[in-house]
Amino acid sequence: MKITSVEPLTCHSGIAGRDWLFIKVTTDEGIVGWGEGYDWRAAPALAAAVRLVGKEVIGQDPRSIDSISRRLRAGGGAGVRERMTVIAALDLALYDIKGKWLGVPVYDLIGGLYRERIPLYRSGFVSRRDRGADAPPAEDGGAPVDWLARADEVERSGFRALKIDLQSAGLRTGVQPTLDGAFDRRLIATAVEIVGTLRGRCGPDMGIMLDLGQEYRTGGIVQLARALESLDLYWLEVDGLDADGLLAARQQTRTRICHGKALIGRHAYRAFLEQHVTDVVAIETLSNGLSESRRIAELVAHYDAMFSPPNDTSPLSTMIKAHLCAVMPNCEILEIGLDEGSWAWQLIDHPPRIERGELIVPDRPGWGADVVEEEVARHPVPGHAGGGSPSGRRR
Amino acid sequence: MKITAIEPFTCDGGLREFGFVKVSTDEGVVGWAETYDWHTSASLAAALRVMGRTLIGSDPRRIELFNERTWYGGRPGVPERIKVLAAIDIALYDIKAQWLGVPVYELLGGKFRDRIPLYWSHFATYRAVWPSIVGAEQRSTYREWADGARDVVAQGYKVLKTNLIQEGRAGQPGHLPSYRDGLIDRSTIDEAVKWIGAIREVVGPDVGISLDVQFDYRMAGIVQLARAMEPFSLYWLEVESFDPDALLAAARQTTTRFCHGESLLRREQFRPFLRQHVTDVVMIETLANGLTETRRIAEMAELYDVMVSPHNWMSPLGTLINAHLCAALPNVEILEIDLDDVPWKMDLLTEPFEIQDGQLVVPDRPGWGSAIDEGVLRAHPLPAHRLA
Repeated sequence: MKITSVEPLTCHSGIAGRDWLFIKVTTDEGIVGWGEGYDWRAAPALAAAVRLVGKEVIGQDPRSIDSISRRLRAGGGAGVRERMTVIAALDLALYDIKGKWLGVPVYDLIGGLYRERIPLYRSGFVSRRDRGADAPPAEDGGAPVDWLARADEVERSGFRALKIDLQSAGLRTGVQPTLDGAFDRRLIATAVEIVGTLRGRCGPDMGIMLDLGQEYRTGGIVQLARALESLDLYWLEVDGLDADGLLAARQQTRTRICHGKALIGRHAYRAFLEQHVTDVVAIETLSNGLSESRRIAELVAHYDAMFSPPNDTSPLSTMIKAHLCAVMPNCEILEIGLDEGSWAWQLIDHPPRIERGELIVPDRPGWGADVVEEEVARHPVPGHAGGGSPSGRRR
Repeated sequence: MKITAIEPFTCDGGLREFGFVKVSTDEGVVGWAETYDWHTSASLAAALRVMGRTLIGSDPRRIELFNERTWYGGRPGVPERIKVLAAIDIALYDIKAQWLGVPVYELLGGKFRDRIPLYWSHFATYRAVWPSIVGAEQRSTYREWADGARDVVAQGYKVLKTNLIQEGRAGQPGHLPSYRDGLIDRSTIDEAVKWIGAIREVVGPDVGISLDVQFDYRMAGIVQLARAMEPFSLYWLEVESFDPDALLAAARQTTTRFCHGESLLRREQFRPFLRQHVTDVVMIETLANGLTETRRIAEMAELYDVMVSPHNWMSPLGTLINAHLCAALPNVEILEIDLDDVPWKMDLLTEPFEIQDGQLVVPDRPGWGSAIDEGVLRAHPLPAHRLA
């Protein structure tokens, strides 16, 4: 079997500045594999990288997944981010091909089914993204969203946890990220108020995660984490590249901390794991590819920690991450950022079943669903014509 | 698919005992594994038989589930339990790969290499010390034993590994030095210099010579031996220890390269050695750790920029199992193989493998590429006093 083409397809998510990048790998046996690359602000740039890097694998056997990844990594300077992202996306497409070639779901290639149902938490329920394909793309403006009513919907659907951030549209916090990374008392008070309100609404049993992104430094994280202790967060999600600092923060608060989604490659995780900085680790499968994500998850298990994949992009991403979560014992919970009624589910031909806050592991070959190119074509990235057309070429 | 039977076997391999396990399924697919317990294989077989009963009826394709449940289902630290888990894990890969119609390496990421570089292990050791078992003529001197290296090199091997065999009285076979509380004495060092020197003279500077002394010496002895070996630029000096700090201290007192790890079980035991970069190559006993855990250990080694060389001292099935691992993992340096052995060793396999120019050709047949010939197993039973 040989790879005959590698094509990018870009797709607008409905939120300004957030786009999705699919990679379609075709073989001489007619098997088509789908993957996704992660760079939500620069899908067109990623598409260009896909075309360039893709040329290097035409004619190669798609079944030698790790060989292809390793040679690509060695061949182009391991540190170049776009290249690493493309290699990861390609890895995912190759797993889809291999599963289809063997007629099995991807989970059968990587350890077999450990669980049939994956616990989920909701994110993105506060933004305006799922108000319909013709909703205004801006993140602010328009009528205020009753975010607490949306939280009620999440609870009624059976989800056991939900995640918010301080900048979500509709929360009306007025909070903007500060470039100096500092926290001020007003910001902390706002966070306590928001989480407190949600806690009051949902009761003590709902998991509430707060995502801080990358914008805050250690001192601020400690202050915020301490202020939130009585509200019993499921976790406080942070990013940042300093293991020692994060360890210091974690040691000064009882609030549970989750970290890791910006890390690429298990070498990047090593310092955090060796110091047991967090007991739950985020692994972005799209940035790492399935092989490396699995290695990271196994390393995390070795250090007695759980992992949780972030999952706030396309429905294909959900299918992909479902397989990782299906096989790894130390998978704690999987994010899902799409509403049940979201238009985005039409981007794949076999959306997964979600029942009472759990995802039923798909059992069709490969990921279990293909991207629907006609639907992708209906959501072009503004200013970029690389979505859905058969040749995938820019005008 | 369901597991219908788990049957262990033992076998008298002459130089060590062999153990195997055969896992049968309701779909007719049969998986084979080799076990690692070269002198108490009967007790491991008994443990496999008892623990295997709890797996009858389960789905062999759920390898991760099997690993996790078995590990947490009892007392994880008991070595017997680790080796039982390892053996069944290995057999499950054979089953899954055959079910999918692919070689096992396809389940490990696909082929990274077609041929595995091999080193000729126990060079001259068996011929010198137990010539009748391996069908060799008895020879008594370093020069005669070293002469065999011409053939090793002519066959394409780039590295050979030997032990501290010593000349006996005239006409007597060679012998290994006796254990002396971990100390090494002057005469052992002198003899080592003569032996390695004799090999070096025959093979020249470009062929790798490794020396394996296992657990025989404590740190002082290791340092003295390693320093005495420096002029010969050993490929590696293979030692055993459960103390990473001690071994690190020893390794830093000599330029001789060390290799270590065949007695370690699971990542927990490897991690302290890797973290401190005690050696730049680790040896992993695949059959004692299982395929899943060995892969994880090798990937952890890669995290520390360390190469891997599996321990491969058992039957040709063990060689095949290691071949698939070595085909898929990038940081594999070289694989051990014993060419001197009981003459019927390769008959154990229903499908033999090929070695070309000192390299193992990875078979492309489903599963390992061979099963075990049970008739050959039955022809070499353990003597009564070795049975449980």
